[in-house]
Amino acid sequence: MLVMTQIAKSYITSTVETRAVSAIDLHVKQGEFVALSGPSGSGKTTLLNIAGLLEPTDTGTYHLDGRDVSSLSDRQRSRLRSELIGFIFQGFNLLPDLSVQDNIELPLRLRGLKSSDRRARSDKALATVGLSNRASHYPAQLSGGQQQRIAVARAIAGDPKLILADEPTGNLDSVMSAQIMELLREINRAGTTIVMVTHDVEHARSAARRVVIRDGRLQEDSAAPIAAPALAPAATV
Amino acid sequence: MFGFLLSSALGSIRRTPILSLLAVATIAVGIGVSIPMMTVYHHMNANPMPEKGQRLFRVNLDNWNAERPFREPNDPPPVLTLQDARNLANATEPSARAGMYAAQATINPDKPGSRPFKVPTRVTESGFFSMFEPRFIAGGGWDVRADASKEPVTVIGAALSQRLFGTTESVGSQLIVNGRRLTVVGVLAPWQLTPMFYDMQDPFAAVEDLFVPLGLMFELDLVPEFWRSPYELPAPLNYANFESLFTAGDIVFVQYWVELPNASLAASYRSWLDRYVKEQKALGRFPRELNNRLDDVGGWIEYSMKDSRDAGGVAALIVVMLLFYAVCLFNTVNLLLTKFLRSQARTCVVRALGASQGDMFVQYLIEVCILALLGGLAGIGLALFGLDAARDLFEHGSALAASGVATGGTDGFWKMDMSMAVISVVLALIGGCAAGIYPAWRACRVSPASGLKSI
Repeated sequence: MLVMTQIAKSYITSTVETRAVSAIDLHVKQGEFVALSGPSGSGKTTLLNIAGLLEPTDTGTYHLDGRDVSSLSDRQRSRLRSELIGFIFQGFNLLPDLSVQDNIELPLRLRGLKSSDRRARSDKALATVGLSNRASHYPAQLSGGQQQRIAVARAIAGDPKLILADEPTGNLDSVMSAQIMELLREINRAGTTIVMVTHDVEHARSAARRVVIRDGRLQEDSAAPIAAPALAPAATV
Repeated sequence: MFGFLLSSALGSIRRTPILSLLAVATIAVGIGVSIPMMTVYHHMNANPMPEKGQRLFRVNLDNWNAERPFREPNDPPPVLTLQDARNLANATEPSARAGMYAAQATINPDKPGSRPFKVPTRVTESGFFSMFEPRFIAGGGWDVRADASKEPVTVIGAALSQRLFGTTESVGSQLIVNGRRLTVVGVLAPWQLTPMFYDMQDPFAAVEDLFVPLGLMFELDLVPEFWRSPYELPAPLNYANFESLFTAGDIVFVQYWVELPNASLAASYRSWLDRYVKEQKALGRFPRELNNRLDDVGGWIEYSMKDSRDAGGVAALIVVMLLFYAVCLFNTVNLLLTKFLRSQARTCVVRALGASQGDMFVQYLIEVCILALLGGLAGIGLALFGLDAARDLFEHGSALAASGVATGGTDGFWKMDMSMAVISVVLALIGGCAAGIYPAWRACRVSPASGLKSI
């Protein structure tokens, strides 16, 4: 699903160059649930952003769902993002002036899906997270846990192959966190690959595979080394 | 996708009402200040005789002295001597013709206790009315017979009729002009004519309120407001020698217009003018090289305005106003930059969910276009207010205003027509979009990862 080879990324300000990740090799198979953990500033979020095509790499190659995405244009990367990836953020990142339904349908609109299709998918996603009765509410009318469930619904509404979650329980209490984690495991059981950044040791342990990053390098990977899968030729999106 | 981008743009405007309002206001102020001056310029350059403009011709003959031209580089005087005007009048080629000039006449109202007052006067011939076709409320112009027999007749404007007789139905009434009783044969409806092309000494002047036959000029002592002589006068001009100096001398003062219905007649009349001047040269007049002009209305306006201080002044003002508009747009750039960068976090989320840089750029441009459109419409409102204020300023105390008659004589000059309204909106859209390109480009270039921490 996700094959990163010798990925490196630095941030350069006027005076300082900060190496966020260095020479990372990470292969994630379809259907895996991977927890990325490590101390603050270790490069977890940067790696997740690279995986989500939100940031380009400085060096290395990245194959997503069999396609080399290292040299795609911004439009191609955006298209792939909307088709293949669902995002869940620590701060939910719901748009406050849109209703729950509209928030869930936002990535579907960007994909150009028809209104009826969007509505069917958003209804299904809302049912999955158990908030069908909140479709017309606005984010400010919901609790933190409910907002994160809406964010999960937004992430799964497009039937993505990969969900990238950046500390999805970071702003939630333990009860809510448990609910969200259960929801993610359920989604994973249905076949969706999940890569989740987390500080929470318990949540990291509950993932099938745990990857630890420290100082921008991959320090520990609970999975046995795997051979890189045969890659399809680079495709134009 | 366009529908989504449009609704996103509208949503963005709703989310930042103050900045949106300020952006609209700066564009509106720029348009509102620039457009009144452009409207004036537009009217100055408009063809006041769209249907007959190519059939009416101004005649200029160069009988200035041999030492220097009337005006550099080699322009003939814009007016003729009375002798040449009379000679041309005897020619049969034009289907209509009229000599004319502007003067000031004094009217003695017949009402007891009323004081005499001066009115701008056009001293002309019957052809004036048939060529320029002003609209009459009552009666009509005098005829050729009245020209020939120097009949004491007059045509007056609606405002003057109202002032003197309390009505615009004053045909047959009499008024005393420079001590002589004249009979009203026609009352003109308010006549909007900008520029006042038949004279052009003052393109902004209002059409005169009093028209008297050219044949009465000496009888009524109607001294032209504009006259020039190529040679020093033998004696200072006074009422005693007015007729002799203006009849026998080379003083130029008659504006001369002819109507020539087609190009071939115009060419033939041009040749006739050349022949006429050559004949006069044989008589010892016209010392300069052959230098006649025969301009239709459009050509005459262009020629007259080419170095007119009014036209130049207005053009310079337009440049200043456009610079002011540019400053407004510069402020708009800053406002839009602030507005767009404020919504950076939101942009990052939408980008993360699948929008490309191009999508965001288009959304920002749609937003800018909406703001520019609103700015343009608001600018039209401001411009209308500005034109109203300008009209009040320039027409304050004029005879029309003093008469208390809503003549609307020059209203059109200060009114924005549809073409200027469209230009305003187009100017706002072009300016607004130009101002929006950089902020939109900056805002959409933001990395989606950079603003995902908070919204």
